[in-house]
Amino acid sequence: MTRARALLALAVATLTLAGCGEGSDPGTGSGELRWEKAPAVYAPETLPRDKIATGMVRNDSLREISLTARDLRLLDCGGEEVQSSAVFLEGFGKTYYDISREELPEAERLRIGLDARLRPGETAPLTVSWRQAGGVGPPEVVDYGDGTLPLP
Amino acid sequence: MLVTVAVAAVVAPAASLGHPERPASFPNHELGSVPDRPRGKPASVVCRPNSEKRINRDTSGAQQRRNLKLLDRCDFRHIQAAVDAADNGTYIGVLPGSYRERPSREQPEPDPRCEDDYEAADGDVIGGVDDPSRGETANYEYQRNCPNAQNLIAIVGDDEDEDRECDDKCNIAIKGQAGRRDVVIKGGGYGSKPGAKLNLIRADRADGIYLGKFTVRFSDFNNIYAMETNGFRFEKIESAYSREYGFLSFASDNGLYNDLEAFGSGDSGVYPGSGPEGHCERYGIEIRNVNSHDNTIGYSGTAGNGVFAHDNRFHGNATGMTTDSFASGHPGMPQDCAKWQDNDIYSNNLNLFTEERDEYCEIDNRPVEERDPTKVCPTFQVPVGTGLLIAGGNGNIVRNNRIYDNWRDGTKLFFVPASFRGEGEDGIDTSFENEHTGNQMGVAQDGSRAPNGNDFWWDEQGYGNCWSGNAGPNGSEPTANFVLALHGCPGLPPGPPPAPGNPAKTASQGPCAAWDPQDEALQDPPGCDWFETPPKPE
Repeated sequence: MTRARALLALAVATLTLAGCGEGSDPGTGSGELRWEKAPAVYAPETLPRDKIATGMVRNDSLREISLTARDLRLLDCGGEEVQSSAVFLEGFGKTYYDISREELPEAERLRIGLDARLRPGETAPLTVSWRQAGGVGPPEVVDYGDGTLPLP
Repeated sequence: MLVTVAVAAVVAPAASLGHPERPASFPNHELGSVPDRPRGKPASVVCRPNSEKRINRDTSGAQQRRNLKLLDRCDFRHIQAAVDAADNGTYIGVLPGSYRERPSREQPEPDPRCEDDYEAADGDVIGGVDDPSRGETANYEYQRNCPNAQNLIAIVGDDEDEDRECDDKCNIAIKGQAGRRDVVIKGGGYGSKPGAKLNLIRADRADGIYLGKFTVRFSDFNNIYAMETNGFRFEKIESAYSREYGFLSFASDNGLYNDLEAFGSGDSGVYPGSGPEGHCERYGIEIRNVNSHDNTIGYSGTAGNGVFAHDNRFHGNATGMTTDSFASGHPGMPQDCAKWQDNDIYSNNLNLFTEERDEYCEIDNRPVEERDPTKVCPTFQVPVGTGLLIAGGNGNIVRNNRIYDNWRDGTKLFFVPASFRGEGEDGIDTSFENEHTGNQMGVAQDGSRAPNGNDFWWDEQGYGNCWSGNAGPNGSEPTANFVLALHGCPGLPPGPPPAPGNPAKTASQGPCAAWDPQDEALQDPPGCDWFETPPKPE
């Protein structure tokens, strides 16, 4: 792709995203969490309805941000929730607790990417995945409560 | 300046509550050895009221005559009572019968007599801030002073001195006196069911323990368990149904698993975890003639180091074998130096992650106590249809195995970052120098074609991983998800920095980390294909 075409594509993408949500700026997201760079998106061969996005997120605020992966929601252009999951890991990780037996201690939740706690300027890996179903558009943002992160 | 902190880089508890072990250390392997089989007549005899009937019904000839003679010498109705009375080197013979160990079942857990025998899981957590949610774990004294709180039968051998070595209850042998199914040791089931115990037989610093010729079933955690034990031998035992593990050894050395059958484990049939630290100079645990099937995993071992597993069958599980470097608290991390040779690893396509099984195993639908213990609920997520998975491991040898009819992958190798184990900036990622040679891929033992979905899967991370001399059906080139020809043995030398791996492959495994069997929304996380049975390869 030429540079001009790339810029054009970016502009179109930005315009498209700008139409989504109300009062948000999905081009860069809203709030104080940012992608370090645009997340990479993969389409698993064996799961035609699913996609995976992974990248590093950074706390650009002056306060600590605590996040729970289970609470992240992926929203489509109209604000509808898309079936999804999230972990603060770049690949597979596993607890050595039996999660049907006991609540995981906080440290273990952090270790295996179920939670993240970011001091100002800190970064963490984030992998989100979603399954496309009828009646809901592709996800445009990751809603983390205090803001959103855009998805490509 | 931006500070990069991998979220995983906190140090987790040194204690493992998933395996409810206390912080542990390896014994001095030079001071132990694999015990011999007991010879001659047992020094003490255990029987049940109906043993005579069973001897007459189920045995014959010389064995029957011998057992009837032993019956005259029967001193104990419960195996634990015989253990309690045993000195070092005692051979305990167990006559046919069903052993429920009622006095042990009546011991409470937690036991108020040992309320002080816990220790905090130590660890520098979250930037040095203590994490009160870590909880505590029962320590060695708990097992010594209240042996039947967690265990149906406990052999606990280290006295009050500081050496962490066996002093009494050493070289004990517990052996059934007829066929392995004629002596049945039966646990009370799962969860808080009355009489349920975490472990059916626990050998704790019980050096030289021999266990043989019986059946065990229905533990809430491990059917057979060796902890910090220098010298053990498990032989001719059938382990049927355990909420987690059939046979488990942890921080133990000089061990032999021989002629065992394990099935119906929520985690693994056999688990040589935190194995001997021989660093490829020696193999401290041998596993042979094991038939492990119909478990979530046939064989697994977090930090399963220094294990030589050969001439075994791992089949009909969700995944046949795994080893990994996930846990930060297990001794011996990262995993290294196991050798798997001449094993049959096949037809591992059991799907315990179906919607129906998910519904059954969800505690909101059915408390653990109400489960049918013969219906396996997986406690570990694995890719259904996989023969052998190395999830972070170095210097392992996969040699001359027959690996076939695994509908996803024959073998799978991916890395686990050092940060995941809390090793921080100085840690070294896995996986390196894993050798796959001479394996027969996609060919059944009788020579018939039985393809894997794909023979070799690799995330392309790490140096020295190599594949040579492996063959598919009719001598064809095995299949792989990378360019196999570029990675013949001895493999690529280390190069700074180590190959980062293929990010698409790494990412493809990420969503599987979100699996939660107790959360309906995460029983089948989007983006994770592990829980779908792959189509049977043509």
